[in-house]
Amino acid sequence: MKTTGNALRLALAGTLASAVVLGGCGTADQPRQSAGSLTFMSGGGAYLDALDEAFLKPFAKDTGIAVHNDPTLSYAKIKTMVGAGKVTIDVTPAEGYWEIQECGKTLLPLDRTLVDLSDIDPALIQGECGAPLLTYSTAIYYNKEAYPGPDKPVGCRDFFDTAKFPGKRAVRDSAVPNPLIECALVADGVSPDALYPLDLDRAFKKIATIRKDLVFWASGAESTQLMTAGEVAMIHAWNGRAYAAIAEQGAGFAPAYGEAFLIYDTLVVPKGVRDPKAAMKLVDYMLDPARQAKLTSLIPYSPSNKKAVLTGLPAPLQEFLPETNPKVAEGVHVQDQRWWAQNADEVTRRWQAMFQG
Amino acid sequence: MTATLQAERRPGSPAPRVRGDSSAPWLLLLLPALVLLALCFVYPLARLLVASLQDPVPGVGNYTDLLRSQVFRNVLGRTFLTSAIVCLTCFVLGYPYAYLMTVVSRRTRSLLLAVVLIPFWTSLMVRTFSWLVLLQDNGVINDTLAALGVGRLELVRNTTGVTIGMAQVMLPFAVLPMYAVMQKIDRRLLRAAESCGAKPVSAFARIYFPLSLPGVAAGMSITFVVSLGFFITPQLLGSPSNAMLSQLMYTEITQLGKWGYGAAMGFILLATALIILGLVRVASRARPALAGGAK
Amino acid sequence: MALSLRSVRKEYGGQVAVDMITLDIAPGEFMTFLGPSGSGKTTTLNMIAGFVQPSAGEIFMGGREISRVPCHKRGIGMVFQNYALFPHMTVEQNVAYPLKQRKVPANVRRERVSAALGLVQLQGMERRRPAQLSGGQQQRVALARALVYRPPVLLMDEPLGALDKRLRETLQFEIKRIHDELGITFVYVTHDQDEALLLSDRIAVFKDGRIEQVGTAEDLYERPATTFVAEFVGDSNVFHGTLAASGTSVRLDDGRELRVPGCGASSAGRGAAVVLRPERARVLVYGEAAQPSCQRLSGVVASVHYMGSARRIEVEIDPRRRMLVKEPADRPSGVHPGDPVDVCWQAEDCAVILSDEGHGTHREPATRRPVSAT
Repeated sequence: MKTTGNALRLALAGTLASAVVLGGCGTADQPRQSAGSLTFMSGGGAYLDALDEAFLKPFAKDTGIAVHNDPTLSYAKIKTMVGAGKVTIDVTPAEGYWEIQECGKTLLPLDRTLVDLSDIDPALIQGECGAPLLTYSTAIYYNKEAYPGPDKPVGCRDFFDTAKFPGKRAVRDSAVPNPLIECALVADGVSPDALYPLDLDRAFKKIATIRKDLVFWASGAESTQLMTAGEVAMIHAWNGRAYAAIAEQGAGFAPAYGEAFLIYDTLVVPKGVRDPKAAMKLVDYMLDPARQAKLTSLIPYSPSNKKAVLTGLPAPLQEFLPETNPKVAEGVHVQDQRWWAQNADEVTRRWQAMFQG
Repeated sequence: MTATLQAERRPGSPAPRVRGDSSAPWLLLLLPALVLLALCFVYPLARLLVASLQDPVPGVGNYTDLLRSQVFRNVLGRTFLTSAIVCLTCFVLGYPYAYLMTVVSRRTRSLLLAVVLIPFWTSLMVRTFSWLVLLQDNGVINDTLAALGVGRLELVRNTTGVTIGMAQVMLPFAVLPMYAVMQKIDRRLLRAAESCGAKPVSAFARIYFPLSLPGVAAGMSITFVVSLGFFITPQLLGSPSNAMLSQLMYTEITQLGKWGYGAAMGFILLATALIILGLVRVASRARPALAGGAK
Repeated sequence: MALSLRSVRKEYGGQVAVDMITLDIAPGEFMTFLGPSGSGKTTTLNMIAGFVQPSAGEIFMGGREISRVPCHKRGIGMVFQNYALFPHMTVEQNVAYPLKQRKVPANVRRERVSAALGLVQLQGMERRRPAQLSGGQQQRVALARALVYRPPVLLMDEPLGALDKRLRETLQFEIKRIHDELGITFVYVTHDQDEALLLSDRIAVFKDGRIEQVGTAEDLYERPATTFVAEFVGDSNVFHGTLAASGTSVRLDDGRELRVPGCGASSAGRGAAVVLRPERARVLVYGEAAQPSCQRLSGVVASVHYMGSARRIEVEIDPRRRMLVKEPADRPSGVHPGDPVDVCWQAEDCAVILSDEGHGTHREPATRRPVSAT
């Protein structure tokens, strides 16, 4: 039958076409894999632009090894790649707790013969698979309009004192690694030097006391928005975002110089990369003090390298960084990512039960 | 849809055969779509099912853990409730809108269509963030309300915000199927009803509305199912107590690396959604209005 | 009067759809609005139904002014060309719908529905849906629905337009029978002149938003008031000319004179159209003797068509004028195309239409027939 033949042919052609499209799906991700090039995975945006400018472009220029960008950072994606044995990225910045969780499982241990950590702040070297790249801290900022009197909020105690300092408090809408837990314990009288292991019962009990005054931000941009719109009285925000809101967008907020909790992004190399040595070389390259100082001039994060000299930064930015403002430095405590790596699950359960259940 | 479009058919003669012999080869044309569906949907789904039963240890532990978890049960219930609220909102806004589209001039109709489709042309992220700015306590809407003496309302970081944001995204999915059915309804039936002594409102309720129900059912089903998977909108416009299941799944899979647990969540959501849709279908079969109007 | 229209007018954005219509319809009368599409007949019907508001004028029903009464309060029955049955309801529910609107109790409702379905001979179809019925059956349901609450007036808007010829004829008789049985007023819109002649007590012929003539089928056929009516209702041969001084003949443009029934000398000099129905003329083989009173025109047979009951013979009188003759099939003249013949008729069988002004300014008729002669 003629119609049968036509339909059959069309159907076959269509099936073939869809198969081709699908086959393409599987391979389209890996156009690189030409020898002598690396792929750097990140979350994209301004962060990627800054990394590109400070490290990736100079690296390609200095070594002849081209660095491709993959702006789709996702821990799940990295785990899937490693699990499937099809790793198409070489280096990515990760949060400290995740590096420790995945070290040896998803991530290659750092090759210390190729990566020199001697100038890196030792407080940041908490795992075996990551090379700390930069730091930022979660600090308290208050709305100047909310507290016009002489008494200003100073630290965690005031953040949790809604009688003395009434008003909404904004915190990050994520359990891990949310320093609200640490802050709660400090407010409850635990010394910032004796926080770990965190007493979760005590911390969540303390958080429950301000439960109804909490609002949540889901992204850094949203925290900036909360400050510029003056939506809250106090906020637990990243220092870089606070700088953007206050110095660049004129938000009526001021830093409370009390306890702040410092975390870091650390460079990791997944298992199964084609050329681990080249990847490690890129990691080492990114630890260079001068280049790290350059990064801070591009995006308000602090260097991990103690020898990085921050010069020529705009005065308002200097206000927000521990390296350039002793008042900030005084309050900063490094968050223990080893504890968080082990207890991420437990904190998540409790957090969900309190806020999402 | 209507009697006039119906080909003349004598009573007692068999219904026209849709799948005559001559159309059989053309069914082969479905093959590419089926292959695509199998490879892009069925296969990953099967992989997820396996993961939910294998990771971290073989067995149904993920499922029993989940069903025992108060948080999970609450979030699952909230996910369905939120979708239902969004559905209802889309119906209340979309039904008159779709109806309006059937009565205005062709030019106005294109304009109305464009307006409802605008959400498709902008990034979800940008749109959601714009809602945040508009709806916040010191936002334009609240400033206006305050200036009018109404007073400020809590419009965001709660169910209201989530509903507004999601309903805007879902409105086209609700409006278009309703419009497609409505534009085929013979408006002369309303005249006929009035000539039978029906008040215009009653004619609409008893004649037009039942005939539009297939479109309502289609629009609401799509809206409901798609709403179940929302992630960014409830996260940005809601508070953690508005969290939907996809947010929980995100946390499990990307932050905690618990694939099996997250996959099991997905499967329970899928199963519950299928059961609900099945029940709706059975219920609508029982109502002749839904089935009859679609003839 | 069952219905009275007084100077009713409808404009759509400056376009006049219905212009100053005045018409009385008697109780129990079968009145048909006949006219080509766009002539205003359906608009007029819709104004009676209440779907359309008149721009001016008044409509009375049973002596009550109803132009501002909404449709659902008029209590008029209506049947539509597309049946307009409710597709999601069964036949029974469709027919019961008007009773439900009137809050008729269920037991009475059942009885009335059953009676209405009996009237249209659809018993046993109660549970079917419209989509399961043929077009003819659907229109019967529509009739039953329109009649079930016994309205004083039933309006029908080309109710048989969508049906094939056989079915149409069957239903025409059904409608006629139902009208006789119920004795209520029917207002019927059609563009089919045969249907109009068959069904109606009186016919209103519409043209360009006006009524050209109202009358019985015989009035329209035998005594058309305008050449439009003459040509729209049945076939006709129309000759334009001027009424002679005697008032008993019309002088055509080419100088021929046709004798006509007397019109009175007072109208002499006025433009006049002579209308001759084709079945009133005979074809005589050239030279055949005929009655002396016979009016004669000679010509050549152009075509002969066998139509079953009759033959249609076209005769070319001169290159600008053809005449149509219908002769009974059982009394053939035996002429063939090309035969020289005489067309012959009695002057009394002609109708004369005087135009208002002098000859030459009469309205040009729509040329529907090849016999239009000027």
